[in-house]
Amino acid sequence: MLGSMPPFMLFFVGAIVVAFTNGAVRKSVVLGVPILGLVNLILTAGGDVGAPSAIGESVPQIYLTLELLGYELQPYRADKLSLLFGYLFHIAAFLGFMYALHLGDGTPEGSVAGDVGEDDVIGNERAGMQHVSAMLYAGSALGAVFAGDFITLFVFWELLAITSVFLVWARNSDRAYATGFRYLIIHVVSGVLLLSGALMLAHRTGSIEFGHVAGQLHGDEGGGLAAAGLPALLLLIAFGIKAGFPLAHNWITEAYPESTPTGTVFLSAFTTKVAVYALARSFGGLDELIWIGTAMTFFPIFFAVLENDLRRVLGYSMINQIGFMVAGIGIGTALAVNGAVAHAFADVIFKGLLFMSMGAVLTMTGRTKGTDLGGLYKTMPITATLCIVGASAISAFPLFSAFVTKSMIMVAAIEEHHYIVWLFMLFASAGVLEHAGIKIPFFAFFAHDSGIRTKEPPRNMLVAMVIGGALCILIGVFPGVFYGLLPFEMDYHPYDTRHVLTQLQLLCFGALGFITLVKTGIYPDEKRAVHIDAEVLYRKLGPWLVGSAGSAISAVDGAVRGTAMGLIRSALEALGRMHGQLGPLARSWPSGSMVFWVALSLAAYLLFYLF
Amino acid sequence: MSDHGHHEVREPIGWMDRPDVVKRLFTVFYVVCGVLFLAEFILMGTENAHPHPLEERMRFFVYPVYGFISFWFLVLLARPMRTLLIRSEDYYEGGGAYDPAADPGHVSTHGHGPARDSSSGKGSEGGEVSDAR
Repeated sequence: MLGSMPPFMLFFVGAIVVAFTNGAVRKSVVLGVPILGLVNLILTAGGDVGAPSAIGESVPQIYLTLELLGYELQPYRADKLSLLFGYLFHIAAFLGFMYALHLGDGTPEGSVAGDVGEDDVIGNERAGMQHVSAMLYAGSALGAVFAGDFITLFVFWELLAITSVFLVWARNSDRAYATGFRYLIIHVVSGVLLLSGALMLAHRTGSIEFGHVAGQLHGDEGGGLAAAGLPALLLLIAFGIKAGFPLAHNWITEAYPESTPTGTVFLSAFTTKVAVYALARSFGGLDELIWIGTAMTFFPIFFAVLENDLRRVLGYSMINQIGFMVAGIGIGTALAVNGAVAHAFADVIFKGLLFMSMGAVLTMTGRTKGTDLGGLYKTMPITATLCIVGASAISAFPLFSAFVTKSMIMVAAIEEHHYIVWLFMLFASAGVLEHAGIKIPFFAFFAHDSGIRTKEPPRNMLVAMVIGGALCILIGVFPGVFYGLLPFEMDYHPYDTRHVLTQLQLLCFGALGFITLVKTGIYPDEKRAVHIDAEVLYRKLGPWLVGSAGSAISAVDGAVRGTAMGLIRSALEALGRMHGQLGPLARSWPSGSMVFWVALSLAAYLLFYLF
Repeated sequence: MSDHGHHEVREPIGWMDRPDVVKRLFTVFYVVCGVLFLAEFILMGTENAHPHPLEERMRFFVYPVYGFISFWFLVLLARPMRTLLIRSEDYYEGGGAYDPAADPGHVSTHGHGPARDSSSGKGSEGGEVSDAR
């Protein structure tokens, strides 16, 4: 049975089991399901699995087909691209559940979170809900990457949103509820756009295959967005919302800091990476993506410098990293797309590790703001070290994972003569070092002493972080093994003297820049404040517009009603004048006069009759 | 960076409060930067493994200079951005403009005084920078 089971199935069954168990049984189920799933997937890969048919020549294996309304659904299709994300999501699920294993065990020993009124942050109250929704969420992500057609993709696309929102709501605060609803609305809109695009595509091509859109529309993969038309645009926007394209990126920076410490680890792993996968499969080589991706690497780093909430800084960092992936997909060569998906893989692990370290700080202290933290290296030295490992990995120091993944995208940009893009990316790489490499560990664990005295987080959290840190280093030290999993053939060697030297020069002199900025007092302080971003459009401007439109409408409505009422009133008054008590048509006449007139007419009649 | 990180945890609690340790770490970092800078000369005559024209042209000190300038550019652009974009913490819950007077800044919970002085606090923080790395 293993080796042919759709990967999502195991997780959905697991979720049901988790819902009805607790204690040790639940713990073994949440850890067992990802391991069992990974075995299932490795057995699957034992078959002859090729590169995605869109770019390579081998045909993927299809394990399951269904018929719906004359269309062939493929709920389970595996090729090297989907398998890479499949492995990744199993690893991420395992790390996430390991990290969340203590949920339901009560407040961790040494936690001072309760002192600041953040007891619920630990999420113990809602352990079952978080485990079930995380299990369904991981399953939905797997369902989406192994979907062979757009209808199946749509189903899992919406499930991703519906299952993950509970991880935000589990925080159990008013702010989290509001954020969760906005998150849900944004993602449901993305799903609706996906379905519309897919149906239009099916109408044009007669196929619902989840493949390269331009290739399906006009047989070749070039031509840009204009040539592909509306269906491609709708699909691109749908994917773009989930990937955090500029102006659609604030759901990331809103939801991730509002979720529970453990919930954010899951959130950061799946949704955006499913979107990156979908872009890689459907829009590889789309020129527009190069510039969208470059913009994504560029603007968030400015917000990250200013932001006070360290998990929100990581949210901006996430957009920046996805920018590299999107640009790589846009460049579209084998090296670039390999680089993009490899970087997605590395990102899930190092960003997961950073979110885990900040989650550990939040769990133990109830705080994640730069202004509240500092000096924690004294009481959380292991967490601090692991955070620095994650920070080194995201900053692309040699021997760490991003050094061997991000550089593929950078080299591909040069090979394809995108020099300006390359310069932007190099700048963004320095920016990553600033906010994720230095700011996160510095403000949380060093800087000036906040006086908080706590302990290391529960052991399961440390184990998850150690595994994450080990993977960051393993990928960086043995890139060859990892490269073997990538979907396309390529010849790339990250370790040569120049690459190592130039990268170290960039990073160390960047850090020197940081030191000079702090010493001269130019580096901006952390402030207890928010910095408005595109979210102001729907959190302030939208409600204001609706409010203003409402009052404008009610003003116009009032005027129209007033005029109409006036008209009706004057008409009624006119009628009243004619027919009212004193009106000429309604005046009551004395009956005597009527008798007189009747007598007169009778007399007249009599006279006519007689003569 | 990571080497420092691994090194740090073996230090006794509170080692970063010791100025001599901080100073030594600074010195180590400056030496590393110097070595990286000089390495460019050592590699000058050797073949470039990357056959890409832009990187060929960018051999001499472009990476260190670019890295350094990037940080300054980033921060110098972020500062005016802040004046434009900063709002009070409850801005989306009905709050308004950012009021510096209402911001206590960094709060210490063990009686070192309520907040740091933003102008004088920087020098001492600068002294800790290389530790963080």
